[in-house]
Amino acid sequence: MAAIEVVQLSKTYGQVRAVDGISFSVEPTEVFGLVGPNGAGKTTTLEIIEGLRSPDGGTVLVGGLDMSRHAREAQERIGVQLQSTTLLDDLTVLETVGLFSSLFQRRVDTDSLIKEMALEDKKSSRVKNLSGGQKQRLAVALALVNDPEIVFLDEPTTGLDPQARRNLWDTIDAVRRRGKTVVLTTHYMEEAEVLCDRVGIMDQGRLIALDTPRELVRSLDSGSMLELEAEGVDASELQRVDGVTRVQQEGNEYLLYTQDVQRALTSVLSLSESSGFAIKDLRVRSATLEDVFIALTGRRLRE
Amino acid sequence: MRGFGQLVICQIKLLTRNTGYLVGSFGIALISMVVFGSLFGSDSSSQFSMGFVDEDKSPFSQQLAQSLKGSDAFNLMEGDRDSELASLRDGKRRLVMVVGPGFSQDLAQRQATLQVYYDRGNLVAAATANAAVRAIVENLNQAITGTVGPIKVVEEGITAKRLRNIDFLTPGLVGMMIMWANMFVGVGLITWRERGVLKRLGVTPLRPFNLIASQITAHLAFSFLQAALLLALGIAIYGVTIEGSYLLLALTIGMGSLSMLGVGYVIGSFIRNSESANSVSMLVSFPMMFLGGSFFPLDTAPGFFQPLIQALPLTYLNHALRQVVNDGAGIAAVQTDLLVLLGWMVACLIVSTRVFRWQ
Repeated sequence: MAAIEVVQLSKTYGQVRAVDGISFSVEPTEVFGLVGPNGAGKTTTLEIIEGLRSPDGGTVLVGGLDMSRHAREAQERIGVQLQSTTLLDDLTVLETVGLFSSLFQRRVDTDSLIKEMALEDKKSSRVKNLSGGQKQRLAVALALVNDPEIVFLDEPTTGLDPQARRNLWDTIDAVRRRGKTVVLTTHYMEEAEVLCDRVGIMDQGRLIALDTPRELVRSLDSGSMLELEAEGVDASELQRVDGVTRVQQEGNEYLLYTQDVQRALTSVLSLSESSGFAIKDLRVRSATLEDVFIALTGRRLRE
Repeated sequence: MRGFGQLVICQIKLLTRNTGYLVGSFGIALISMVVFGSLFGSDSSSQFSMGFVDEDKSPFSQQLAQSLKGSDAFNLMEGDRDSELASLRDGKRRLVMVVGPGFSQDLAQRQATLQVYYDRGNLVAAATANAAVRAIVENLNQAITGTVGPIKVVEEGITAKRLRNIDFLTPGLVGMMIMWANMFVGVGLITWRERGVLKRLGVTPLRPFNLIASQITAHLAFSFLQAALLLALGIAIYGVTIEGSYLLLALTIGMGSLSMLGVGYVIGSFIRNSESANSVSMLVSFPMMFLGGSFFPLDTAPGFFQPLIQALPLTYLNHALRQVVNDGAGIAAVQTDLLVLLGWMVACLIVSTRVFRWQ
């Protein structure tokens, strides 16, 4: 049985179709990521699955329970970290964990949970005195107080500095190793690549791709990328360059998708000779999920 | 009620850690007690009300009442003999004048008497009041007969209970404190909504009803604690005495807290953001603090204020608290007050459950 089964889910706010008929399922013990730009409908989708919002159409099964009728029962078995929740500033870490733990039937040992989330030094600190990373780790700890089967993390690393983000990745990895099913959202593609077994790419309320990160990148038919910065280039000429499968233009910057780096490089250089444009910068790198998103939508993930 | 105890404990902790809240409720009451208690504490009550008992019900007695009413020396309260004398004994009247039956016939024979009772324990006050009454009666004599003398004033002293300002003030401050302590419950709830705390609790098995119940329980517990502390200080420092039963006092405090919580929730339901809700709560609390009669008696307030005064829950809370603390009244004397407070609470809870939005 799938941990989560989402069928034809839709939700409309006024004129905006926030979630537009999406379906997917999440398997037990996998880390499933929903990625996409802000406003793609990731958070709305997550909050419907968690039972916080009711959909306009479609069904959600969590652990086999229909969320439209058994939300509270299901909520005993899930753990949630919401996007940008401010906790109770004047409670300490220990008090906060104790409070949330008391709301569930099933509980884990709060002391060892706090230890595991690397918050032991901050046990008696008020929440308001925690750093951004510590607050996020506390939020993840609260998602684990009831030893849930499924853990939802909504943009867990947004607003964190790189070091804190890496720490949180370790934390999420620890959650995965406990055998939990994890559903997370992010708008950092590299984060999804590192953390997720499977990734669903959302844009404008729709699920436009769903696979493992490796398969998504492979689907590009272009394992490498040339990032070209040049002036006076005719984009249609670049398009016809030998070995380049796709071109995305953004001002003076061009993103060239290729399967054969050497052939593409040579062609671009000779085109620059023949057409007489000056190359200001040229970089070669492997294709990423970000490139998948650009290929699918024609836009960058973050603008 | 899983998690209920923890929720109550956490909310009490949050209240005690909220400096603004503590200063607003307990701080203001304590400072008022110390300041007013030290300045005017041992003075007798500043009420200057005169009771008027008309047992004659003749044009003459009514004319007398009219002339007394016209005087700005005192505020005339009409009633029957028993209740007015009881008020005098309770320290609520400085003077009671009784126009006996047959006053008008006696007046025709030019030997009418007016009975005046005064508080023997407060002779200075009684003397000034008596002087004012005599002046008016003399004028009346002149008007009736053109000469001196048909109406004679007979005075009688009665020992009234000495109600000092601090005795009057202390229950009023308890009432005020209960108001401040509970009025802002709605603001707290909106703040939780704004910061996403309600949403976070919404993905736990906690039921909204339990959350509200825990909030009410925490505020009740805190109100009792603060009231006990304030009364204890009043007793220890100023020798205030609690005449009535502690149980009835606790019941009154509880009912008062619930009615104020109701008002707080209504404000929180209609106003969406916490800052405006905070301002509105202030805007409601501040005038209510004065118009609810916490600091001074309001029976002399201008007539157009009276409907407002009679509508405020604090008016009834203060009245009931004074009945129990000062007069040692039983439940019969405060049941109307308690029912009004109950009515406020029920009405407010109905309104706020219909209007409040969790998201």
